[in-house]
Amino acid sequence: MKMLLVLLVSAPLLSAVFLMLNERGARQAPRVSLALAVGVFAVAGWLLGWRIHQGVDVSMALLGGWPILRLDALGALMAFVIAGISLVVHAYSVRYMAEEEGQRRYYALLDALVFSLLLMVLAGDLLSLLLAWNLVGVLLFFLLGHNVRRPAAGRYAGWGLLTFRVGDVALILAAVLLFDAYETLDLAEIFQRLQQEDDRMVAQWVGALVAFAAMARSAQFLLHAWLPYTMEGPTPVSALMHAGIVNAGGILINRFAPVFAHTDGVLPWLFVIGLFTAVVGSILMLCQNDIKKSLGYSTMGQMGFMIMECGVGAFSLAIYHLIAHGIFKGTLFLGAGGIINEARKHDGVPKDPLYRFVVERGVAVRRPPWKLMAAMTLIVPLLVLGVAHWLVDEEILQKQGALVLLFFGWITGAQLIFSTYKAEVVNLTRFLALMLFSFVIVVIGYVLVSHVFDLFLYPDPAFRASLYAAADIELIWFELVLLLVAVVVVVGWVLVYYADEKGGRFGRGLSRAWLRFYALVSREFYVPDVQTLVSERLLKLARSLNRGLRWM
Amino acid sequence: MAKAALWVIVFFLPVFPATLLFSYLYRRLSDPRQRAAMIVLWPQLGVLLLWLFQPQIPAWLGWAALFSAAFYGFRALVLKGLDAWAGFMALSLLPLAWLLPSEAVGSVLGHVMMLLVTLPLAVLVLLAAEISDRYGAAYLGLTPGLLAEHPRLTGLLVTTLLAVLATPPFPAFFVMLGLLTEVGVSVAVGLLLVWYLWGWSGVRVFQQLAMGEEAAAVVSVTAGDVSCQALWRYGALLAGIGLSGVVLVWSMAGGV
Repeated sequence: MKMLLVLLVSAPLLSAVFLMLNERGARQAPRVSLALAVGVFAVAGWLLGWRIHQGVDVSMALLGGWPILRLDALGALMAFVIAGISLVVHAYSVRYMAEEEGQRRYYALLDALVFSLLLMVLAGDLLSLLLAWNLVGVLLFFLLGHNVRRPAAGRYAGWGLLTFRVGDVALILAAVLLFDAYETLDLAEIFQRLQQEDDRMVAQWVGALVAFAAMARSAQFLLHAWLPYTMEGPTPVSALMHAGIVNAGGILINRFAPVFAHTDGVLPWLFVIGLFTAVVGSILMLCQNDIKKSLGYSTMGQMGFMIMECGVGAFSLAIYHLIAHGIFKGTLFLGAGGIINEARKHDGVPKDPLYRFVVERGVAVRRPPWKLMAAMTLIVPLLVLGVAHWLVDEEILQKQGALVLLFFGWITGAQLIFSTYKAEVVNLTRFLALMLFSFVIVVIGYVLVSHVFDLFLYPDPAFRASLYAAADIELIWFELVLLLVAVVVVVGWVLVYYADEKGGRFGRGLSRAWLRFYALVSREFYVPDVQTLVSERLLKLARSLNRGLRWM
Repeated sequence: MAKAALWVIVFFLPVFPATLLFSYLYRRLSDPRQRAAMIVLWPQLGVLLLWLFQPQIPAWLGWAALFSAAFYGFRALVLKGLDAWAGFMALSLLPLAWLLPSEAVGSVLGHVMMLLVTLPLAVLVLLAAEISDRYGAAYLGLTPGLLAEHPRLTGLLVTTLLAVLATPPFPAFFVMLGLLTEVGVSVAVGLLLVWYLWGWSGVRVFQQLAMGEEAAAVVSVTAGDVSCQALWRYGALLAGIGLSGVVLVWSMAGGV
């Protein structure tokens, strides 16, 4: 088993080195790389199956002490996901990159990136984790800038790398603090001693720094500007980035879960930042007219949601979320080209009902009655979610984190039903039945799978409870936050109903405010502009210094 | 005596404004091999003097060294000449030796560490000369699209840049980590700021050097890519540096 673990990590590295050294192997590169991706996927699947079946962690120290590879539940699961996404990306690349130049370089970098990702999730010591974490950023920079003839590709890849470095700095500091406190690199030993000694001060600082590193990698607000702009890279790289690399923040937080269990106040802050990012990312996504940029902001919103889940103590749910998001976002990116192609033939804009009835002689359609829909919007999601959660855990209402998730589940479900209000359908009963059926299936699936993830990743109920406890805030603040969010959401719904009633028009005052808000959103809250301005000012200062001190 | 020696050593492990001497001599040397040799040998002299005299290092010198590293790292952001950039990076890197405990600097390990972190800079100077041979100057912005025209040379250049910028698995990264465990939190934050500046600077160098349309239309290219032998020669040297980084960290981790 240990040999398989070494093989899993080293195979992509060997492939990368082979492709780099073999100058005449450009034609073989896709085949070599794809064959290896298939092998890596098979080994990762085998190891995950073994870990599920045996239920024990495996550690092995190479070269007499370092590096340490560890196959635990999180590592096995994430290695399988990474290998799976890598296989899809490799297979897609075979045709996509067929006529591109620099194929050998592309596949070598891709394999090196897969190696770094696998090492990142299977690292059993601080040093290997730092090494892999850092390499992922560097290799992604080169892959995003693969098309060297496009200066924009290099420029925005640079934004990405420098943002990653901000997080790297935080993670390195966290590692130094841990090493200073426990004088060992072994993560398992560090976590064990942290638990035994209950060192709250170290946990607090390390938790905050790790959280910051995760935020930089997962494009949280103010550290997000690179994400929607790095679309000049090859599409398979975008898919890998959005499906795998930006999720690394959630993986890192889960890796340091024992640290977060001893923190006080770090997780609630993470929740606030995640919530803000989710809202801002979703707003920006809705305002884009470029499908890839829109997907970029969608990823930002999803990453906000993932960080928010960590912030309420639902760590395993964040892993479930990042896997689900990885699969659907990867699919969307790989299908984006096809959709653009299709849109060139058919614009997809719905026909006017009158046109359809009179000119096309189509069947008359109608809207569902709004009172029925409003009632369903409010009651059905709450009922379905409440029952599903209660079936899994009777004490669900005792946990703040679970309640927050329930609340957001209700809002999401309500939003889903609300969004169907405008749909024009021929058979209303069938439409409603199908909608309800799919909603129930999704909710039950989500609750059951997240419960299974919980049991697999964190089998100790006391540890799970300690994570939820670390995320708790004072009851009065908790109730206030829920109330505030509920008010904002309900006001939003009322505004949309109002606007719909008025034919999409607001009053003069509201229209003016709306226009101002739209201007702000269309400039992406000026975050990229401010970043550019600050960096230009700094470069100007450096030039002035060089002019003034040219002799030294 | 030891105190007087300290003032001399400050010129060999240069701290601003004692960087003046290094800067002056570096510019005076026109042969890239001499410049490369200077980058490697100059700090070795400093480490040797530290070993011989073992002066008491005052606390303020550590802060001055950190300021000097950040100052030259910051100024390197906008430099255009690749060999001048290598010189500034050396001035940003060398003063960090003052942050190590004196017993570590004045020892064989100190010599080895200095050698491992300065060798990539020396290689960079030699590669800058290779670019100058082809384009007339190794000037950032003058040779966009280097990758498309000279993939081997660019590959070597990028690998060397990564080694200079303290990227794993090159030794500078692990030396930096070792340094971080020796200093206090406030110095560690400053040190990581320097590391961030290096990264920013490296990104700018790569963007201006390797990316964009080929420069052949505006600059006459006088030679092809580096030969296969040169590729293997430089490649073996860089691989050796990378491997020594792994060995260095392995020995450090084994000692834990």
